[in-house]
Amino acid sequence: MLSVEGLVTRYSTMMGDVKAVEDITFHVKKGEMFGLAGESGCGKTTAILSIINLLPSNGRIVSGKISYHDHDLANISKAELRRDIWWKKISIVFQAAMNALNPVLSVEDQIAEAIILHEDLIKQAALEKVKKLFELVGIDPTRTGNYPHEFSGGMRQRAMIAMALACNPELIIMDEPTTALDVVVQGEVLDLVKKLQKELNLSVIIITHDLSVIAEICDTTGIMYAGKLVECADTRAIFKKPRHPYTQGLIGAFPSLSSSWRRLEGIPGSPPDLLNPPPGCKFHPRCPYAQERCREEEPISIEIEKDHTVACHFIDEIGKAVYGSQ
Amino acid sequence: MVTNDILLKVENLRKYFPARTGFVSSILGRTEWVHAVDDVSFETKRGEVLCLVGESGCGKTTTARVLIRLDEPTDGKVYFEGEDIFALDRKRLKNLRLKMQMIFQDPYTSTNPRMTIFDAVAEPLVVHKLASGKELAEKVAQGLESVELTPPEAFMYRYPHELSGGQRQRVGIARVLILEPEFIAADEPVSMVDVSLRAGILNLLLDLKDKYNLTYIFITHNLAQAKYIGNRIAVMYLGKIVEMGQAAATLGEPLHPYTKALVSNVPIPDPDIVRERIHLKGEIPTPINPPSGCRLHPRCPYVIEKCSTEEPKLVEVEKGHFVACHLVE
Repeated sequence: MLSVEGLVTRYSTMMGDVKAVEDITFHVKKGEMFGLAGESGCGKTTAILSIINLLPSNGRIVSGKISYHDHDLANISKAELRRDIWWKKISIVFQAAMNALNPVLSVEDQIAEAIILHEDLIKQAALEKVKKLFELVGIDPTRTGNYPHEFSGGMRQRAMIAMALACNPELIIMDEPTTALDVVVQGEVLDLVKKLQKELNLSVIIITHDLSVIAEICDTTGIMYAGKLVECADTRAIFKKPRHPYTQGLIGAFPSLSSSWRRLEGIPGSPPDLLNPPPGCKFHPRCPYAQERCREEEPISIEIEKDHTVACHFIDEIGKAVYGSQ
Repeated sequence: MVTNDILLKVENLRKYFPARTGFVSSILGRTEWVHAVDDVSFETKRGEVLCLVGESGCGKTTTARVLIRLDEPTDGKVYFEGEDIFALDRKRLKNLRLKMQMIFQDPYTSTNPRMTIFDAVAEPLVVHKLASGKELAEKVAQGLESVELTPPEAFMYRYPHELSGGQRQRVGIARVLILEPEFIAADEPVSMVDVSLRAGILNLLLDLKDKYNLTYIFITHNLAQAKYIGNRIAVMYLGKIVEMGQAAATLGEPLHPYTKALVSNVPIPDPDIVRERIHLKGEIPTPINPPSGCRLHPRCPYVIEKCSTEEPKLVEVEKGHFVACHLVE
């Protein structure tokens, strides 16, 4: 349904170009929950801002193709996006629900505004729809007239999700949907997203730095590092048999409530500066397996199994070292 | 090594902050109070890591700030090595500061952008007039080495903005260690650090604890981290400790409904594990007028009549495992 191929996005700054997204390729199927994970500054938010054409003014798509059904989203006018895509086909839930809502408009007016603009409904009908959306996301429909400050953090995030659903899109993009929330509320929001995805057969792209959130709800996981998609596979494969050294490192660095105590292994070094990323494989300065070739030649993504891509020169050798010969 | 020697004893600690109220209530003298910490008692043994966990606003940071006397308590006592820390005069308080230190949450705001790393790490020694000249330089170099910022010369003359968040947090730890404290309160020390660097900092804290025989109060909202680093854990809700015990046992088989709900909602980085989450009704109420009786009762799925009228006491239900719940008593 959504296919991103060879996407390259850069930001121009006074110090030069920030290579935020470097040649990433992935596909999202109808009804799929796709998780995009990585550390701050790895380009995950830029990747999705490129998809929906909401890059800030100093950002630009240098090359690549973003196909959504028959549309090429990388080369489409804003007017067309507004008419055909935004809200109706693809909508987005931003990270900070507090800041994304307008404090001087009631929540129902904000959601109704989008419905009226995109669906040609009169206000009365739009407000009725807002009530239905509130029920869908589990907020008391009598509270539609409230202002954002009267809502708790979890309710605001639910209202944002209701807003994203307002014009019946088929793809929802969520940027760190639970990061600002407390544990109990995070659990509720994750359950809600899962429920809505099933009921409405939505496709969802979730961006997060928290791998455990991905393990909870995503079907497919892409791991980004320094603007590159280093590994992409079925979520189970990513967690049970990660192949890229960065994915392995990241999973090894996460404490878990469910397993018994083992010493975690941090990844040495720090993520690179994307103004001047290292040559060759971007991960080589931190990689325990790095060799001469990694410093010189950039690995390309190859499909090692069906729907499992990895960008590393030494997949086989590392696989053998980590998992034995099977 | 956890010993039997009690280093820190907290008794019925309370900290209320005046809430900002309207003009009328202020002339009528009706100040409302935020019950940030409300009757909290616990002990920490030398060599132990006690984790204070809970959601935002539960009072965990306030507890830590008061018990190293960064804030004065409303009521209650804190004894450090048997000494009442709120009864100390200025001079003795300054000496106490050498033994009790705090690592702050945000490495981006807790380092002065105009100070070199050398000056930042040296500052505590300069303030306490403990070293100068060559000795100071040596101690700073050792301090940077102990937090694995090596070689120290490569970091000393840089400014904080040239370092990553993880490296800055290491500078924060070096600043604390240089005074050779016995006790450190660490307030969410890795929550603002990149995920790939968090494990390194947690391991560093564990190694330093063993090396220098330190005692930590470790504050976090992340239960998996608490399980990783803590010997014991105290779960806080709206200014109260609701459950306290050995970290692995308490998180493995929580008894208090709030701890149960927390544990069931923590995402697990393993797609094969599917659990039923326990939902609590609504969200945390304001600590200005906390609910009567058990503070969880308006949200608790197991609530009984008694809960709204009578406050449950923190009682020992198994050896070393304390719970404040009418259903568990």
